[in-house]
Amino acid sequence: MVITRHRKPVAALVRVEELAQLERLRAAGPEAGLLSLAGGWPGSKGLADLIERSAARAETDLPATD
Amino acid sequence: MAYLFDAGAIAELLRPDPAPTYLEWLGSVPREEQFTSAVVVGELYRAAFRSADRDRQLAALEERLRRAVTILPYDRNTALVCGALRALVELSDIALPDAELQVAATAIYHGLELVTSDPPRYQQVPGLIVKPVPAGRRGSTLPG
Repeated sequence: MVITRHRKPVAALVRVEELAQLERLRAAGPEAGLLSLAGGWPGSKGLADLIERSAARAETDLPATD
Repeated sequence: MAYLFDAGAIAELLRPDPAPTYLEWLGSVPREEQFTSAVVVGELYRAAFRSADRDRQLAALEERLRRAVTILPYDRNTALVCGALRALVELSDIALPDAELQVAATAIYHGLELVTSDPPRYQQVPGLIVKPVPAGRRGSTLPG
């Protein structure tokens, strides 16, 4: 539903789900998303290795439960 | 459907030859449906600080990551979900590190599927929908 003033559209009523999507879009910006990271940058393979090793170590470092 | 990418899912992209099936799927996910958690970003920064070329890796993360994905905070609401999850997993003897629980809680609170390269790690978390990183042989070139 569009609200007009002097026959000019000035606002619109939208469903809550559409508002949520609009807010997501606003937060997201125009960039290409995670696909833009594909292939990384110089040295990023080493970074990926460190991330995976650190996740594996966190799993083995878990404290024993009572 | 919208998605939250964990550290392993993002690490896979940072390799020179990510799996083409992953890239193809990712290309079908709208930018506004791609999220990660501040906890994941902390894990990425931790790795960068431990890297041999720390300054370059930190600068690249700072410049590229922030623009590529929406970062959700770990806040009071997600902490509430995380507390409930921790109580549940402690009762059921599921072993999951704090950071993973916080990431899982963020996905559950925001109604997101968790994209991960390590699905077994999360499979017993109640209420969490897990989407494995589409597997396949890593490619030698990226699609144009």
